[in-house]
Amino acid sequence: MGVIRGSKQNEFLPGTLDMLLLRTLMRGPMHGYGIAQFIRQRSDDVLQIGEGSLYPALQRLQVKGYISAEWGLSENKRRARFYRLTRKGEKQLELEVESFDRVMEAIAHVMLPG
Amino acid sequence: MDWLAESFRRIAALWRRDRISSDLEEEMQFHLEMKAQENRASGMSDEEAKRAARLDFGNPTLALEDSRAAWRFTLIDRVIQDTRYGVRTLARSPVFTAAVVLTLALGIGANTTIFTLIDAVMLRSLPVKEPQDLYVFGASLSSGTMYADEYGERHTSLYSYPLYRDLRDHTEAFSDLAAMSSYEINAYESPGDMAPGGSTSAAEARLVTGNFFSLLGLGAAHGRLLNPRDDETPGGHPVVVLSHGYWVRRFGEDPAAVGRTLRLNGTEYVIVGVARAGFDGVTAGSVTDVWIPMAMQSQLIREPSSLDDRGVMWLRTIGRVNAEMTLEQAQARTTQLFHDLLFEEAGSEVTPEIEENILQTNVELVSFAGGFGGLRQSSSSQLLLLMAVVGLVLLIACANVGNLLLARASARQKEISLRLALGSGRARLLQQMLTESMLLASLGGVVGLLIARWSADFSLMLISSRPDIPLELRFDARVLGFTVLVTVVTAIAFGLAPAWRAARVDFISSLREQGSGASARRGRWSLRETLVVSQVAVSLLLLIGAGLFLRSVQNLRAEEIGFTPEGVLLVDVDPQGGGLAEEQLLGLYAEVLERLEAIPEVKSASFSYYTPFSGIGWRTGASVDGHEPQSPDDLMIRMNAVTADHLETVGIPLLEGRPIRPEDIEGAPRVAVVNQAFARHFFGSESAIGKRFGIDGSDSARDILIVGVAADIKYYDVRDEPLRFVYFPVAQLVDYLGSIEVRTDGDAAALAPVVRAAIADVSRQLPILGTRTLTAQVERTLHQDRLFSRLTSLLGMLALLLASIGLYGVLAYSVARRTDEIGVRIALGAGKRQVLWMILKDGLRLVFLGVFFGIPAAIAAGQLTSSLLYGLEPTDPVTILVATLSLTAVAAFAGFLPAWRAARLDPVVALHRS
Repeated sequence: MGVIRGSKQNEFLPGTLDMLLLRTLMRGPMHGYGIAQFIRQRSDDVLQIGEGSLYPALQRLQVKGYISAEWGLSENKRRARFYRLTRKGEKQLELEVESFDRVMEAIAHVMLPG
Repeated sequence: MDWLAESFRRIAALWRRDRISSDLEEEMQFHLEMKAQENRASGMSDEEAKRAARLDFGNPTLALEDSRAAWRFTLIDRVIQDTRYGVRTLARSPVFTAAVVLTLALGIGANTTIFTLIDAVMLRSLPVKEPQDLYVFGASLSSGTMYADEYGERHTSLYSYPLYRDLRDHTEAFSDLAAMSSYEINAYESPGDMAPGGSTSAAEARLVTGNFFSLLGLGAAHGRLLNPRDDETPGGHPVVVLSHGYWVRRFGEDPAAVGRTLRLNGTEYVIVGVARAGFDGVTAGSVTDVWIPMAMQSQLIREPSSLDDRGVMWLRTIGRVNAEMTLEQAQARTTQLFHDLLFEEAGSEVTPEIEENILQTNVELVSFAGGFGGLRQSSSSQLLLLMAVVGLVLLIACANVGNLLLARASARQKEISLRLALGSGRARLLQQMLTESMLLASLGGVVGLLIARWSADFSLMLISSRPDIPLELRFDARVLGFTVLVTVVTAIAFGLAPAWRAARVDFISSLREQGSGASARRGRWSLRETLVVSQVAVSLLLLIGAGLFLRSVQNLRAEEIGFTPEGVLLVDVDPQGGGLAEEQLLGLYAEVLERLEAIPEVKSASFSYYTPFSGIGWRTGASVDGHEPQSPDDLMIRMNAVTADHLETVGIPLLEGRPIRPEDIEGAPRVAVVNQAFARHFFGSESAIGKRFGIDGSDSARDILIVGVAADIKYYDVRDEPLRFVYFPVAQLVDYLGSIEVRTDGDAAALAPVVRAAIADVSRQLPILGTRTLTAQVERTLHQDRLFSRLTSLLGMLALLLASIGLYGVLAYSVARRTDEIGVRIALGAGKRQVLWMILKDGLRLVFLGVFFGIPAAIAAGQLTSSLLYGLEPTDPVTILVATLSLTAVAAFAGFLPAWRAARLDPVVALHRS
């Protein structure tokens, strides 16, 4: 599951980018840069989300009503747009985690030696 | 419903597009700076840090574009884009746009106008609670208590008050039954104060039962409406409810009017409330001013009460059907109850004959959702026919616009080919073309609505026999919905074919083709020609129809009515409203007539209950010794009460015997003058003079002596067959007579002021309601036919005009495309005539084909209209011939113009151009 940075395509398993974003926002409201940073650090630099994928994905989630956005002040007192998980987004995340677990389990079964 | 919320967010985003972009830009700028800051922290220089951040970020424009795309609502975006493009395109050719919009506006406007009428007359419900549950007992509007429907079944429509009360108390089918007087009663505030010779206006009053308003579920605008406690003791409830319109007219919307008293026909009534605006009574095309409790009947009409009289049938009964009842059940139960009540009433006297009579009579329940439909009955078929006609006119207009668009599509072939070559999808192109059509149709629809708004008042005259018909035309949701529907259908009708054609353009050959092209298709049947042929056919159909109605009206006017209306002035009076007692009447009549006949210009004058073509009727049953009735209708006659000179004054010839004379008074032998139809029906070829008969209602003696036989005349409509008719001397049948007739050798209308003054001089207790000439009264009944025929003629000519423009357009276009060819022909020595004929031939071919299809279509459609025609068949050859010739002449002229231009082409110019 490597990431080609700057690429327009989403190299994650289908739907996993949205799930990662929603999961990250579970921690509380964050701005786009913060989200990217968080995912990169948490995955030990394995998952690097290109801005070309990050922002369109955030817009999509807004249109779907999973997240909402509002302007606020960042840690260094600069104007930044913060995204927040909605109730609907929480439910969606549960669903996605469930089906992700199922897929991982299935893959694990296939990969298991013997 | 997730998609709905999502669509909603996308649509909302349309209005914040700029905001979304600037937010995203700022956000990405922030991201870049944060990255640069991070880079600086890891030791890069300021320059380097920024550069690395930018590199790392990738293409910000693309990211921005992708992010924005997430919000996009493709469909709406496209519609907006197409509309903008369409507006620009149309604005570039204003003449074309104006021509199309005007054509469509005429078509759509005419359709909306007629639909507005249909809406007002046929579709609109009473503004009451759940009107669909309301039913009225019996359909007939005639003054008889019983009538037979087309299957010969007998129904009742009028009820006595005791019978109504019994029905109300015993009904299971209805949650409640209310009754109202079947007619409006003139209520005068103070006839004594009338100015000499002036008219006094009466309030139209309806007597209603106390539960009338609660049954309808109406609310009051001010005060309260009537309730059952206002209708308990006869004469004990002097209260009145005003209609909103009357309150506005009479009291200037003063809320303090409630609680005041209003003197009507000599009794003081307390105004308890004003009904809600919009409810003007229950009859389409007429209004009620005041509602008065049934208990006040005697006071209002100033006659003994008929509330206890089982013999006087004067009420209409309406009810709200119980929710769990089907109409059939309700009808069966009500008829059963009706029979039970009649048997109870007849008691022990039931003979087999009476029993059969009762069992044969039914209560027919008729929907009252729209109230009484006086107009509905008289003009539905004409309105529906007009709807069809304007529909056809719109169709022709669509064909014209379609033709124009086709021509334009050919002119735009280059543009379209270019767009196709640049990768535009054909479906997308089709959508774009249809958006343009929709735009044109919408503009046409808006202008059409304005036209309809303007023509609405004019169109009212069509259905009314009076200029002051109180029918409100509204542009309600239904009318607007209809217009929108017509507009959309129109856009598709005229836009689809050209759009389809345009989107199928073969762009390679089209781009390669230069100039106007010598390869204009010839010989092949084109869509445009088909359109013109159908236009010609449809306009011929409409022209023939218009011709038929025109000739029909001519026939009606030529019809003999049997009397001489010229020179007769009619004066409507209301002796009853003036508060005169019956004993005073004969004296008053004599005094007024004496006074009128003293006027030098007056030849004779008379009183009557009603005059021919007034629309009023008086029916009764007759009995003649030796005449065995075949059916109840067999004995039905019409009667009138008149003073001595009535026949002479109205101009009805007396064929045998003597007229009614002043000597025929109370106590003298009872006499009557009958008409030929009466004599023929009851006495066959024998002379009726000296024969005797009796009428219902009076004593059963058959002792009325026939002293004269008058000519048959038309009494209601020139289409009528002669009705059996009897004239009685008013002195032997005392009654309030509502009409005065005055005959003069001169101008009847000019006599009106003198006559008014003379009447007012005799008695101020005789309110004059109005005057008109008898000629006008007769003409009035043809008014509707005439207007209808004028309107169809107008629409027929509009259709012909549109079709001619269509033909002209096709030929002019073909001349333009064939300029080179024609130029070569002329250069090679073709004469002007040859060229002229060559083009004209093309046009005439289309016209003849149109006629070929149009005549059978007209004959087929004519079968639908035959009931509206008079004195001719829908296949009337003269009409068809005249219509065809006029159409051919006009069309040939339209075709001649481009042909003539072609013949005058200068070959040098034509060939130089290519």
